Order: sequence, then structure tokens, then C-alpha cells
Amino acid sequence: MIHVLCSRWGEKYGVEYVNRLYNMTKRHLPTEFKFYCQTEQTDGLDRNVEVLPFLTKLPESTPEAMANSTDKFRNLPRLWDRPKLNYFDPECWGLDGMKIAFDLDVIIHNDITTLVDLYKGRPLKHRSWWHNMKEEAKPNWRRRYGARTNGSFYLWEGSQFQPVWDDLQENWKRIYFCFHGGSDNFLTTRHFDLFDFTGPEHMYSFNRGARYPDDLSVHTFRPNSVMTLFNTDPDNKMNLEIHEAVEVYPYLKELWQ
Amino acid sequence: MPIPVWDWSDVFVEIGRKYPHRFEDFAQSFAENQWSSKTWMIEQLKIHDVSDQRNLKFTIMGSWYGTLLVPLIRQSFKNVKEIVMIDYDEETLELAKFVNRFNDPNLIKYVQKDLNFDYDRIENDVIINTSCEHMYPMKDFDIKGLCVFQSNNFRKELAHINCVDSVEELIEQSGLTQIDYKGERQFHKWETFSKRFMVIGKK
Repeated sequence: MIHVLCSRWGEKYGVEYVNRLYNMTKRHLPTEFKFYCQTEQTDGLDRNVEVLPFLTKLPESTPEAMANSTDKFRNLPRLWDRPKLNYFDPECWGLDGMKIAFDLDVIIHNDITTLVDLYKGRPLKHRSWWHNMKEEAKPNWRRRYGARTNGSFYLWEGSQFQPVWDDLQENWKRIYFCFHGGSDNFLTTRHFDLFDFTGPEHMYSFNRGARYPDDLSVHTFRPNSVMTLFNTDPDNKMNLEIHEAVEVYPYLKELWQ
Repeated sequence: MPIPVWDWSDVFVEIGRKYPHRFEDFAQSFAENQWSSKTWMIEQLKIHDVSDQRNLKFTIMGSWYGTLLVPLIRQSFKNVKEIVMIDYDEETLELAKFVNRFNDPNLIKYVQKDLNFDYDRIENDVIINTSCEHMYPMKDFDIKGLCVFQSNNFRKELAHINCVDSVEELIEQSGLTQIDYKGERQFHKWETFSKRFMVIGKK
């Protein structure tokens, strides 16, 4: 049995993002699984989606507390995706066994078992293969606590995230303050070595490509990947969210059901 | 003693050979606004009582390569006993060692730490941080000694996680109770909005 988790807060993504993620999981995960959403917005949720409350073990981590925070960076709460940090609680809502967490803005189009089979005893996450690694090596990247990983997908078991959770418990104030870019910046900087990484053949970014430098075409569907990510860059007006992409590319609409 | 810019010739050769991804960063370390901020600080320190002391020991938080600051400190104060350079980046310090290779090896200590997380207590005669905008507020650090803090309001740079809008705000978030000097300067020569702020004092 695999526990599949996602989180929804705010109005950026409608409830259809959760329900479609559940449907895609059902179509592409042949193993027995349970599907959960950490949310307070239960209206319209598929009845097969089990609701998880936002945990309060981390200070100022609920969507409400985060929104009420006066300490903002460029009008956003610092470490703006704090509710996702709850995945790293070793107790994890009492869910035992293997867990997978997806962001809402993904399209799954092939068998998730491919990703499960990559698991070799260490947590899995995606490396941002679309980055120019030479740019990542430049001093300013580190100085900005730049992300080198993408948290649209996590796979883990048991208390593998204990070091992350301990770090958060001890240093939450500084972590929130410094990693205004989000949880990927935090994990890249402080816990990069904890992870194994999925490859560019397993998932890619619709807005950034699959792998630097030879496979970077954007808005190009790669049918052999397990999933398509829609991570966006606020400064790039070419970026498409899923609900925008499906209007432009009808073949995505068939997959995002 | 002038700034030994002739040494930088070898540094650029070393960068080209071993650290080509760093040439731009190194060049920025002695850009006009870096020169302006470091010389402003040295001017103020030289008229501070601390300059009468001999065998001064300095700690530089977020030291970068020390391209300007290390030679400026050495030429401005008598018998400098120690300069501790703390920086987050291992390669930065490797290169800093090369930049400062002609100094007395006992003079400069290199410490690789992420100040935001790994370093809460710092004690020395003079503690310099010219990049408070990159760090958690200084009032949350246990710092003993004369503090020289600079920050700015240049928010366009993503690495600037902690900008301030005035020198008063810098003082507030520094936790300094004794203020010996405070001031502001233009940050860039091509625009007047962005400001650099400096405060010298003690907790």
C-alpha cells in the first residue's frame, strides 16, 4: 500500500487540480494506494480523497499563519510553501509505509511504478536537470541559496526525513527567513545529500525543458516521461500553468482528466 | 602601502586556470561600489578610538575574497594581529588564500561557515559585516567587540534577503546600543534611489 499525498491552500489551483491528480494516480499507479490532500478546502473534493489537517507542529506553518505573517519578501510570505514541510514530519499523520507526494501542477501520463522502482532506500526527488550546471556552480547561485532540485515529486519511507524535521524544529525562524524562494531552496542548501534523484527521462518541465543543454525545448510534450511538471518562473511571461496549457495544447487536456 | 593590484594579475591567471566560473564574481569584488563602501568604512574606523589600539584583531563576516578589505585594514592600522575571514563558500576561501598568499600565514584565518546557521557567537576587537543584507538580523547574534555593519536598500538582487530602508532600521535590527557613527551613501553612481547604510558601535 502506498500513501499518495498532495496539498492545497489558497485559490491559485482549483479543486479540480486535486481531483484530476487523484484520477491520474488511479490510472497510472497499479499498486494499491490511498490518496490524501492536506487542505481545509473540502468543497468539491472527490470522495476518494481523504482530507488531512494542516499540522501545527512547525510554528507559523499553516496557510493562515503564513498569510498573516508580517515578514514578507517581495509581497510573498518567506518560504511560501511551508505547508509542504509537514510531509517531513516523521509521524506524517500516522501513515506507515511508502509515501509519494505530488504537487498539484503536474500531469501524470505513464506508469508511476517506474518511479517507485527507482527507490533504493533513500528519499527520491527530482533534480532540476534543465539548469545549466555551470550556472549553478557560480558563486551567486549559492549566495542566493538557489534551488537545484524540484519538489513536485517526493518518494520516501518511515523517518527518512528526520534530519530535515529536526533542522526545521531547531532553526525554523532562520530557515523561513533565509529561504524565501521556498522549500526547494531550503532542501538544496541544507539537505541535498539526503536524496537520490529521478532522471531527466522520468519527468521534465513543460516550461523549461528536460535536460541542459540538448533537450530544452519548452511547451513540448515528452510522451515517454512518467510525468510533466509545470513549475513556473514568475519573471517569465511564457510560462503556462496547466489550465492555460490545456487550452493551447488540446492533447494535454486528454491527459489532465 | 598601496593596494597590491599587481598581485591580482596572478589571481586572474589562477581563476582562468582553476575557477573560470568565478572571474565575474572576482571582478565584482573590486567594483567601484565595493571600493566606495570599504574605503568609507576604513575612513570612519581610522578616526574612531579603536584605531589607537595596537595589535588589533578583526573578524570579517561574509568576507568574500578580502580583495580590498584585507589590504586596506593592513595599511590603515598598526600591527594588525589577526584577520578572521568567515565565508559560506569553500571555493571563495580557497581563492581568498591565493589572493592573500603573500601575507604572513599567521595573520589571516579562514573559516568556512554559513553565518546564518552555524555561527551565533563572535568575539574580536572589530567585527565587520558589510553584507548584513545577505544575513539574518545581527541582533540575533551574540557579538562582542566593536561592530561595523553595512546594509542597503537594493532589493533587486535576490540574494539580498534582509534589506533596510534607513540607517535607523539597520541600527534597530543590529541590536547596537552604543552608536559611535551612522551614515548613508549612494549605492550606485548611476542612480540615486539605492542607498548603503553604515553603523559603527557596540551591543
